[in-house]
Amino acid sequence: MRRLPRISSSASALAPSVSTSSSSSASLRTATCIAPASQTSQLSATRSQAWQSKLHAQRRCLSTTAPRRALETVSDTTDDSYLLDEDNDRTRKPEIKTDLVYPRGIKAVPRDADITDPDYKPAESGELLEEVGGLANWWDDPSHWGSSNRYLGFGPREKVTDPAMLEVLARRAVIEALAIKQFADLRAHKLATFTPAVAKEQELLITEIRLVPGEDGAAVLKRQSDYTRVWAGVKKAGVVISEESEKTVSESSQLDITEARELVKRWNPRWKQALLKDLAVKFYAAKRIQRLTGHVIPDAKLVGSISVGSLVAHLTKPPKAKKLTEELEVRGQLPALPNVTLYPRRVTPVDKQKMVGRWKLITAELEKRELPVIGTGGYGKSVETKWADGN
Amino acid sequence: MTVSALKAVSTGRNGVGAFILQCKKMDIHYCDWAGSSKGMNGFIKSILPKFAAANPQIEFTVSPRPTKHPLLVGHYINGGQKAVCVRNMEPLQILKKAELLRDASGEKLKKVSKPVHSINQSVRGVWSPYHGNGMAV
Repeated sequence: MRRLPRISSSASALAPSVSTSSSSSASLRTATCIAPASQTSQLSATRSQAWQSKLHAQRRCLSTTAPRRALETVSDTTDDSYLLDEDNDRTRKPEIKTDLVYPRGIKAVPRDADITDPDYKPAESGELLEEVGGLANWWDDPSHWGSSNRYLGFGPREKVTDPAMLEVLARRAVIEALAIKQFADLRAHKLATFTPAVAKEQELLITEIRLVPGEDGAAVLKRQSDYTRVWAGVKKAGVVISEESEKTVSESSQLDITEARELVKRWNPRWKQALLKDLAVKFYAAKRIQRLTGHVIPDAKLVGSISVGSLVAHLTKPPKAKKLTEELEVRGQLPALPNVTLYPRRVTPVDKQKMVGRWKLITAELEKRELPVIGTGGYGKSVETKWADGN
Repeated sequence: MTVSALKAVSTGRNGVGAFILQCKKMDIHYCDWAGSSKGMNGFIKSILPKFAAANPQIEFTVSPRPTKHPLLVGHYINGGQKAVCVRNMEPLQILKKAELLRDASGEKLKKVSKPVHSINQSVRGVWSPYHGNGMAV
């Protein structure tokens, strides 16, 4: 899909054709309104002259193309002064703050009258003329889009698939969600959704914090001081990211898989029984999980996930097999039978010949006769068949 | 040198002494995408493991046939083939078709006018007008 640049109003001078068309419609309205008035009013000669000159300028703007300037043979200057109207004061040149790479230093072909070369002969038809330049595909080049326009995904580029790592990250997400809920304000919402991975020390600190079911079964942190510790880490990461304007999004987790597996073994499985009663905590946890793991939890599953364990179970559940053979391989019952053969793709006639060891012979014989091994080699059906059918 | 008697060439009497199943191979084709294969996919997943384990003398090959209806093809020891299209069928209906193919002989279908057929010679022999005492009219 073709991308359209987001240019601020101050950068409207970048698109001369657009600004001209808008001004032309405005001037069209102005011209039609003013014209009869100028005819009927008793204006002085000097004033009517001024009106005439103004009208002339407005009528010039009725054209859908920009007013043609005297073309320079080669303008290799890098400033973009050509983009401004001549009438405008140069001191009013708008300050354009953009990292878009827009066309600069356009070279124009000299006109016939300006060419001094005696051997020059104008072309009589455009058939053999070479087409040079043009800005039609300017925005198709990714390098012309600044770094601020580069797509940054909400989650990591690749989804986390390891069950142990998913379990660690889900637990971390719930702990952070509890802390965010404790110190909830408008900023917390942003932090809950946009804060990326924290430092490894902070991550290890979070993994050591104990998540337990409270008196009513709802998930709580074991100690009250843990909320402050987690919140401090999340807040710190949030400040860092706002300062760096999200240019550097670190990896989802600093831990590796072996560390995650050890952590999962070490934890008391009771933490999974903790209930997610508070909807805000559940929402924050889902957002943090999306940010950390790349897994988007559907609303229907989120409503059904009443405990931390069910949330983890949903995450760690292996994805549904796309092919029947993949599912049969996972089940393992059918491939284990000695009289059953499974093929992952269609068994072609060539495959059948290969199974009985005849394909090499067929290939050799066909090549010896210079006949195509596969396909018809461009030869169609026999003509005689058509005759026999009476067609 | 002892004289040995000529050995009589034995004629096949399947089922007398030992029974050889006529169906030697069964191809099972399905499609991952098409809706008409829904029942077939269920059959392969849930019923085929038991059916294949119960019939070890038949070789089963399971292979996809993309964008085509599901198919069962039986191969027989007389060289014949019998194919059944099982589109839109339920798994249990497909099981009935698989049993039909398993029990088939591989012969061409023909009208059976005499339900009892035997390859044993008649004890009374072939009737001849030149033998016997004749019958007084």
